[in-house]
Amino acid sequence: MSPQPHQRRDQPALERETPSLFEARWHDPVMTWLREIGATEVEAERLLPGVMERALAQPEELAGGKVQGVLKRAALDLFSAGLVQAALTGDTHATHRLLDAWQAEILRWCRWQCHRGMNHEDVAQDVMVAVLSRLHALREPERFRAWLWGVTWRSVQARKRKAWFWRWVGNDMERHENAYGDPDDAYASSERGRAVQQVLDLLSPDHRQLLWLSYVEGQTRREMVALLGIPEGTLNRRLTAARRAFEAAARKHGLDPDPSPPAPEVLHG
Amino acid sequence: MADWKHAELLRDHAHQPSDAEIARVRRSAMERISRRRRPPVWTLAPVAIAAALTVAWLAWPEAPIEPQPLASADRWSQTDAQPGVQLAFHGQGQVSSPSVVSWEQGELQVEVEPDRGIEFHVETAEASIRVVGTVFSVERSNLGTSVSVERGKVEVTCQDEHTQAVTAGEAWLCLRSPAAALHWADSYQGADTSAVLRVVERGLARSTPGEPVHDELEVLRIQTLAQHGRTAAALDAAEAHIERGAEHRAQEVRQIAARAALAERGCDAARPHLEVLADTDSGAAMVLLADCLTEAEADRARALLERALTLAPPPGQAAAIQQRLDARSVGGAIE
Repeated sequence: MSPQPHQRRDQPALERETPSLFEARWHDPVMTWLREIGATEVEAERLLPGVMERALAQPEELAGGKVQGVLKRAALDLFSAGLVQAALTGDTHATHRLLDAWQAEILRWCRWQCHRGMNHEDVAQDVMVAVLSRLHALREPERFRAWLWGVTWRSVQARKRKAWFWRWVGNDMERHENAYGDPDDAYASSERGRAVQQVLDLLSPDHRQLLWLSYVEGQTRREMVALLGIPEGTLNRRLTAARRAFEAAARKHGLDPDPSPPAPEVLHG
Repeated sequence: MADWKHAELLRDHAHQPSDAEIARVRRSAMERISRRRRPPVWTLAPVAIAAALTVAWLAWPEAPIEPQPLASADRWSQTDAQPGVQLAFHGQGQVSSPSVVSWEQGELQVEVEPDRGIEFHVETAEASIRVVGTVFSVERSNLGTSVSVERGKVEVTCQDEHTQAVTAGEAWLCLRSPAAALHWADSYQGADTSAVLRVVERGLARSTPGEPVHDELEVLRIQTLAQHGRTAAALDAAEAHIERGAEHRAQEVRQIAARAALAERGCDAARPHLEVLADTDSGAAMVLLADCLTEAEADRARALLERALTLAPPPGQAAAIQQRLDARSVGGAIE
């Protein structure tokens, strides 16, 4: 059955919706996402209540069309926690299932964080190798996302330093045209795609990561605080700075759709 | 929080990796891992010699292996199918070869030592269970073959179904027949809704619409969904059942559809079902239909209520109907 006009899936309206109605509405999509990331039927049924519970625990942060993202991330995180526990006991099959579930996300993260001239696929390989060989360093299985984000961040910075060194000594072998130059990628080859990439290349790595987490993934403040391990006030200040930096760079490249309204000083979840 | 004016620009810019890209990166990462683990070339010579000797030994013709019967009616017995594979059983079957046990009836527990590369299968009439390094048990009963995994992972292939991975702490049932799904649901009435629905879905997949078992399973699914608050799904299933023209327990299905439609979509959606039920002298449907008609068809609503009263409803319901009629006689709409 298609949803009725008053039942938009991206409007949680938890104040009008009981937990059981919320669970009934999101049961099928969550089951589908769990299957998509590789959960068996039995695992999906077992994980479902936890996913709902995690979403319902932050009702005040679910406004603004973030329900889908929160539920998807909760599904992936809870599924991963079980796999990490199994992998830490030496279950190699669990490690590969973990990588199956995360590989697309790793590529997306790497592509976003890499500057033009870096090969994001090389960085993604580094991250996958780290998952396969250094997972034992993870102390808290339920914090796999934060661990993986940290590994990705460090891998990007390491590749960046390496690329800088080789450019400095005059060896161009480490330079790559990343997929933004891929002629098959219509968006990346477009004028707009190239302009956005140029603007992003002007930002600091920290600003890039904050824009990704907040505006592309649509993470709530609570999720970002947990992922980055910083206080909410600091997060808000840095996010405001990231937005201003992007706006300033966007204006220079003629990307600002409406330069008049300034960025608000304080952000609310 | 209102969306930032550049948010859409950033979302458009986010990369969606293709399957080919994912596969390429994953393959390269696996190659890097295997290169790390690869021993120096000079260490491979003794390994190659050992491998050649093993191949020669395995290829040497052997006397055919006699199947070893497994039978224990009164108590648990134990044996080894091969080194590293321990069997505990209570029932009957046979070790067809060192790597295959054919199980006919009762319970069989299997422990395969992990990380020894042992390939092992358990076969029953309706299931094939493949395992590498695990502890699991197989029970064959009138319902079918039930597989429970204590440690590791097995792959279960039920007759006419896809292979299903079953991991530690999970159980899976291969149905002996579609009717076994009905028996299962009857026997395990305390089981959680999702478990009942899973078994019912699999029973449905193995039967054909129009068969009595299929129709009964459909009704069981509709009832289970409705009883556990999955109203929208119950309505969809009930309407599909009705649309297909299934006559089995049509009245019950129509009642569920009417109530679910009222709850989910309101009077307009429920009215076709209520009309059919009212025509079959369902007093409850007449009252609900009268409530839906309100002032738009006030005379018909009144006639329905009067007719419902003539069907000798229980005292409590009769009083409620009379109350509605009294409200109408003074011109009030039914709330």
